[in-house]
Amino acid sequence: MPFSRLSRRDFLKLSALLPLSQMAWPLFASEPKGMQAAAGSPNILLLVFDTLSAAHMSLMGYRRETTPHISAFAERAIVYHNHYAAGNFTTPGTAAILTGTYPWANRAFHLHGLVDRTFEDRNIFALLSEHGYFQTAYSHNLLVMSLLHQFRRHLDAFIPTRALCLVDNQVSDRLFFRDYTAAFMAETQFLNSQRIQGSLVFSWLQRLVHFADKREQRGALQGRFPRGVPELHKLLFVLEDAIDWSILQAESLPNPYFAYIHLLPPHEPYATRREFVNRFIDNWQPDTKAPHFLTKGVPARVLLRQRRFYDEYIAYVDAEFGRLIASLENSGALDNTIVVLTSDHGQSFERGLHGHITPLLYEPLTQVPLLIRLPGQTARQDIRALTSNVDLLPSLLHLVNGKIPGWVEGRVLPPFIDPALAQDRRVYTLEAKSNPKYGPLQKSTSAMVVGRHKLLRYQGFPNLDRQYELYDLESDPAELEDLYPSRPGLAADLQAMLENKLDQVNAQYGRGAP
Amino acid sequence: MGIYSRGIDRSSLLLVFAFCVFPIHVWTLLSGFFQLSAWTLRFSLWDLVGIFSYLLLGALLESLALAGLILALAFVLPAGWLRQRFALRGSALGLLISIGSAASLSEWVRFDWPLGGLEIGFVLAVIAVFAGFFWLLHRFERAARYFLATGERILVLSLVYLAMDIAGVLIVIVRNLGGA
Repeated sequence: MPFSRLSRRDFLKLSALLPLSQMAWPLFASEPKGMQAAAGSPNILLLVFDTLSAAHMSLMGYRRETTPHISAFAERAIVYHNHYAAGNFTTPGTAAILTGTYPWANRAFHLHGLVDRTFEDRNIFALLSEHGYFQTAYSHNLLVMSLLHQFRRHLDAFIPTRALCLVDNQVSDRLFFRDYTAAFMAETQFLNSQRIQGSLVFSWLQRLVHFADKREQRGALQGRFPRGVPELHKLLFVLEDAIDWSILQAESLPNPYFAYIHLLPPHEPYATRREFVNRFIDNWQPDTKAPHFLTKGVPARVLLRQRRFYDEYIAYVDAEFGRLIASLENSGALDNTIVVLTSDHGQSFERGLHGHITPLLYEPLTQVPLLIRLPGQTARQDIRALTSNVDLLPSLLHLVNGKIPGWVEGRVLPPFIDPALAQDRRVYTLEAKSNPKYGPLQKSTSAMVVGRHKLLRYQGFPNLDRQYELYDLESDPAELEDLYPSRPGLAADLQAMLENKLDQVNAQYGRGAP
Repeated sequence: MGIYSRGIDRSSLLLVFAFCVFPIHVWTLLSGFFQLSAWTLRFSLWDLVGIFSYLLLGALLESLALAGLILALAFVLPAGWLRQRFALRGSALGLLISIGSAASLSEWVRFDWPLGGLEIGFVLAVIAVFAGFFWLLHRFERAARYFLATGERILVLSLVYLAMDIAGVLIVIVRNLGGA
C-alpha cells in the first residue's frame, strides 16, 4: 500500500511496527546512497516549530513563563542568544535552513515558492546522504512540503502531511505526486483560494466536506481544545500525534538517521490545549510602538489579546517538547543523537501588525531560538555571537566530519569553531515575496545585523523608493529609536556594506530571468 | 432503457453540456488569470502552463459532473419538470447554477455555519431569479428561441474550451510521466 493512500489511523498503527525495522533493516536494505556511514556517527533530530519567536520565550528573557521545559532542556544544551531567521515566513525561512543559503541565492522567497533547481542537489539531505544517513522528513506546513518535494530524491522516507493530520482533503499529492507544486497551486486556486475560487461546483462540495469534518473534530476535541482544533490550510491536527510519531522515529529509525521534523504550532490560529487557556491573563503591557506605515494598523487591544493567545499556545508547544525530550531520554535515544531546536521565523504583535507575512523585519519577526544538544552533553553553554539559520547546514556537516561546499553561505557555528572567527559576522534577513524570482531585488526589505547594530532597508514599496532605519540592539532592543538620521557616519558605513552585498547578489540577475 | 429512447436527444444533451462547459471554464480561467501576475513572479512558463492545465482538467471534470447532475435530475424529477424540452430547461438550469454559484463566491457573502441573514437572503434571491427565468422561458416562446439560439453559439465556444481541455490533459500526463 503506498504511503499516500494510508489514513492517519493506519499510519499511526503501522508506526508501532517501526521498532522491527531495527532488526529488518540490515537484512533488506541496500547500502544507503553514497558512502557508508562512519562508525559512531551521531543521529540528528532537527526539530522546527513554525513561527516561534525568540522574543516570546522565557528562556530568552520574556516576561511570561512560556518555555519552562525548553529552559530545562537548555541546561544541557548550547543556547544561541542572537540567532536569526533568514526570512520572515516559512518558505524563505525553511529554504535557508535546508540549503545553508540566503533567499537571494536559493530564490525561494515567495509564498509556496521553490528553490532554484540547482539546489535540488544542494541541500542538507543531499549532503548528509553522502555520509550514509538514513533520512526522513515531515512537515505539517504545506509550504515546506513544496520544498521537500524538490528534495525528495535524497530522502529515504518521505512522509506526507496527512499522515499526522486528523483531516486532509488535499488531492494533489495523492494523484499528482510527481508534479506536486503545480498541481497543488492549481488545487488551491480551484478549491481553497481565500479570494476567488476557480471552481463553481466542487468548491461547494469541498466547503460542505470541510464543514462536516471540522464539526466532527470539534465535537470530539472540544474538551481538550476550547479555542478550536489546531488548523492551517484546512488541515486539522493535534501536536500530540506528531510528538508521538517523532518519539517512535527517534527510537526506531536505522542509525545514523537525520530526521527533519517541521511542526506547525505555534503558528496561528492559536488553539492551545485546555490547561494553558487563560494562563497569561495579567495586566502586563509591552512597550507601546506606533503603527508602521507599511501595516494595516491593527488596534493595540487586538494585538494584546492575540499576543496572550500566542503565548499560551507556546506554553502548550513547550510542554509537548518537554514530553518528547523526557521520552527520548528515558529510552536512551538521546545518547547518540544531536538534537536541534529552532524555528523558521518569528511573529509580530506590535506597530499595528499581527502576523509575519509583511515587509517589516523587526526583532520579534527575525530572531528565532536555536538550541543544540550534543550527545552526552551535561552542561549549558551560552553563545552570544551573531548567528543565522543558514549556519545550521555547515555546522551539522562539520559535526559529522563532512566537507562544506563552496556554495554554502552560512558558517560553522561557535563553539564548533573558534569564536574569534565570528567577530566580523554580518547576518541578513530578506523579505522579497513580491519581487520576480529571477530578477534583481527591487521590491524587498533587507535587514542586516552587524555587531550591536541593525540596518533595515525598504525598497520598491508604494510611495517609497528607498528608506533605511538603524537601531542599536544593545541599548535599544525594542527598536524604538531610529538612529539613521542622528548617526550619519555609522549609517553611511552600514548602508555601504548592505548595498555592496545587494549589488553582489543582484549582479547575476541584472538582465532578468535566466 | 437508454437516454435517447427516454426523450433526450443527442443535440439537446450537447447543448446542455455546452451551457455547463462555458460558464465553468470562463470562471475557472478568469480566476487563474486573476492570480497570473503573482504566479509569473515565481514560476517558469512551463510551470504556468502546468498550473493552467490542472485548472482546465478541474473545469472539465466539473462540467461533466454538472451536466451529469442535470441529466440525473431529468430522470428523477417528473417528466414535465425537466425532461420535456430538456435542451431549454437543462441549459437554463446549468447556466443558472453556474451564475448563482459564481455570485456566491463573491467576497460579500460568506457561507459558513450558522448562515447569516445576508446568506439566507442571497439563497432566496437566487431561487427567485431561477423561478423568474424559468417563467420567462415558459411564458414567452420568443425568449426561449433566443435562448436556444444563443446556446448554439455558446456550443462553438465550448468546443474551443474542450479542445483546450484535451491539450491540458495531455500536458498533465506529460508532466506526471516526466516528473515535471
